[in-house]
Amino acid sequence: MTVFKTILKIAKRDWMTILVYFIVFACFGSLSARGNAQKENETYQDERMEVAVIDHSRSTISKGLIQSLRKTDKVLTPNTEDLTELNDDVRFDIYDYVLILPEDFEEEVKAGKKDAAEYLSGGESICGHLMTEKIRLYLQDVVLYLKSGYSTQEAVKGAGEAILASSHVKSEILSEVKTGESTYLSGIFRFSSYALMMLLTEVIGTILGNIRHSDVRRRIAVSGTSFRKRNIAFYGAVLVVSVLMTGLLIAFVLLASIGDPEYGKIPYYILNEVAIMVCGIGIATTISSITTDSSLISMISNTAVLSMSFLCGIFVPLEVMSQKVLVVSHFLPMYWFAKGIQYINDHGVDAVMSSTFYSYLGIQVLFGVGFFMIGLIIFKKKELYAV
Amino acid sequence: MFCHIFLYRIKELLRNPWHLAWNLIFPLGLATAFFFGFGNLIKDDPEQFTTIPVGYVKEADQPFDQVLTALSKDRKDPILKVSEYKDEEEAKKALRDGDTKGYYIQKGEEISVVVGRNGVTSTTLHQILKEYENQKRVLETIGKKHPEKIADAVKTMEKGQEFLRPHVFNKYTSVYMNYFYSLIAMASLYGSWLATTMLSGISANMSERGKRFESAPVYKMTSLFAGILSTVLLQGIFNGILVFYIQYGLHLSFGVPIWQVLMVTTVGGAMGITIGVFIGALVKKRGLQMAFSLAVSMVTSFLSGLMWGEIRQIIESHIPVINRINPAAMLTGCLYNLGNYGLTKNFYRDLYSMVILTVTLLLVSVAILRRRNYDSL
Repeated sequence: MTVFKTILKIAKRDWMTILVYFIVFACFGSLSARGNAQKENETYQDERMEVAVIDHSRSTISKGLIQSLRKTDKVLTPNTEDLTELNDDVRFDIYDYVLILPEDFEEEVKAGKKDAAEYLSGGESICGHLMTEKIRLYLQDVVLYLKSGYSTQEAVKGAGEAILASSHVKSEILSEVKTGESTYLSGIFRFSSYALMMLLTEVIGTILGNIRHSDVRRRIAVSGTSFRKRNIAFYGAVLVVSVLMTGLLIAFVLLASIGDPEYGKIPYYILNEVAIMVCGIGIATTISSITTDSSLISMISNTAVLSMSFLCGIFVPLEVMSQKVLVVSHFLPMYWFAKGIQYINDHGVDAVMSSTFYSYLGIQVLFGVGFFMIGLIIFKKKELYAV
Repeated sequence: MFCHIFLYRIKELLRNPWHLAWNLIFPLGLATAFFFGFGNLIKDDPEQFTTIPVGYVKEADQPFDQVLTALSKDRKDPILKVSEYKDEEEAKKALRDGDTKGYYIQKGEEISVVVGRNGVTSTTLHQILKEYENQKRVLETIGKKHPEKIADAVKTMEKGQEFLRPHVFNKYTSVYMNYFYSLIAMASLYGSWLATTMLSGISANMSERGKRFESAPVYKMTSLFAGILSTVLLQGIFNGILVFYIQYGLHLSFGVPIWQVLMVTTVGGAMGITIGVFIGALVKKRGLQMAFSLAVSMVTSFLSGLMWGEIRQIIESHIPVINRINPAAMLTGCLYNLGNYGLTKNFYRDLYSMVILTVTLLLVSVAILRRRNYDSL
């Protein structure tokens, strides 16, 4: 029991590290998961885009255009007219599109000018193309009515009605297609792997580093407690600390996602989390066998975990990563964790438990055991040669 | 004396392997991980418009065929790549297999679209159908009141009149470069560790060496300024190596002459050092100094976009004051504006903010440190 309590005491001394990573996870993990979450729909819905409109014209046509856009998209008035700031807003997805209608907009449209208005769309994006086409269609309708002898008021009304009537065309979603929209739960659990790996490698690494300190080792060697009893207490305490830290992160997710439609999938996400926990313990064992210096443990942990997070689809989605990098990612445990998350996200509650999912869990556990063994071997060799 | 202390501070810091590891090797390693993680996105923008593969199941010839034909021809990057299918089952299979993003299907007079998921691509396919229906309706309406104008209207429609022009800025670097700017900001703020180590070496309450140092007949300000200058020089060199590595090792362009980037990162390095001096002046425990330095650099770097690229812009549009006081966001903003818009007012705003913050923190720290006396140690 003494060994067990000592390990818990060493872990308690690291409360600041635990707190920092928990706050990072709770604030930033939650924030990015909410920001990236997408809704999964079974019925077709037009993508509502956020369009910032600066209307200097305030003419009949510009008002009609804005009214028409409001029916299908979210029209906003930006709080700045600085073009570089608006451009940054589009590039970083604050708005999908910025439309600038100059004072002489109506006259320019009537004159059939090609540059009656300006827009910002962040390069040649698909959103930009779609919005430009929507606006072009409306203005073309107005011009057609005007050329056919209608008044401006009638043309604007007619164009609005034509756009509204055409929006009833039939569109459906083929339900059998795998959609793979990222949900809040998949996002937060994906981010949790970064926080958990950092916690495990830093805290468990420090515990192991402390116990493996040469002076402590000598004192342990002369103690009366049996080797078996001491090791059971030692690894038992390490496991308890790991489970507590994992539990802390999971408890936060459970509270933060109450009412989430995907809540039923939580047991599978937890299973995946437990698998990466085993891996984290293994990696911590390896790191602490290399050094007992807490600064070096921290540096190796940061380098290893942050690099893996970027290479394995934790911070960057796997689907946008280059194929060459993904080949290398297969040899890293966090890749299989990310694959597990993706698998749970893409499948229904009843379809998750399959050989594929088991294989993802198994690979993570195998990585964990492998790292654990490597750590023990390095430690034994160092002990043997008194390094 | 100044030069002597300056040289020995540099020697002392360079002989500390942890500083080399944290301030130089760690940022280089992270830049490499960034490059492998999303370097391809910097070269090929994933949001760039690409031709949409779509299926078409038709029963008989209709004017809609011409619409699809027109959209799949006539330009360098056509909007659609149309594949015709004999029946709906074939079209469904292609959609399920990911060969198409959706398919149009004729059922009598009615044409509908089937897609795999909601999103911008599906909305574009839906919009094409809407345009077709819209044009039919407009021609019907005009035909009822002014049948003589129908021919002109059809001509105008076929021509496809344009009304909008894009506002294009002179230069652009990929938005993903923002991660690298934040990384440089993080590396600069890691300079605060160099500064706290330097301070502990000259503070009698921090180390044995500090006690010996403060007993020597040297002006405190001379040793402090020599120490600060040596750390600024070291951090400037570390930042320079990182910038060179990104530009020439990873072949990711900053979009401006490299000397301009180096000037900005050197100011950033000096800012990181003065933050460290300020922390060192306020906090008297070595462990807490490290914890504060780590917390400041990690939190501010996150808020500048180190782990989530959009966050700096989200803050800019909702609570811009945070970006005005966040040192990492200042440096990131400075590099971003320099690379994308050149020497604009936003660039100078961030540059001057960094200089003002550096000078203010330095003056406050000096005021705290010059009055420090010890009754007992």
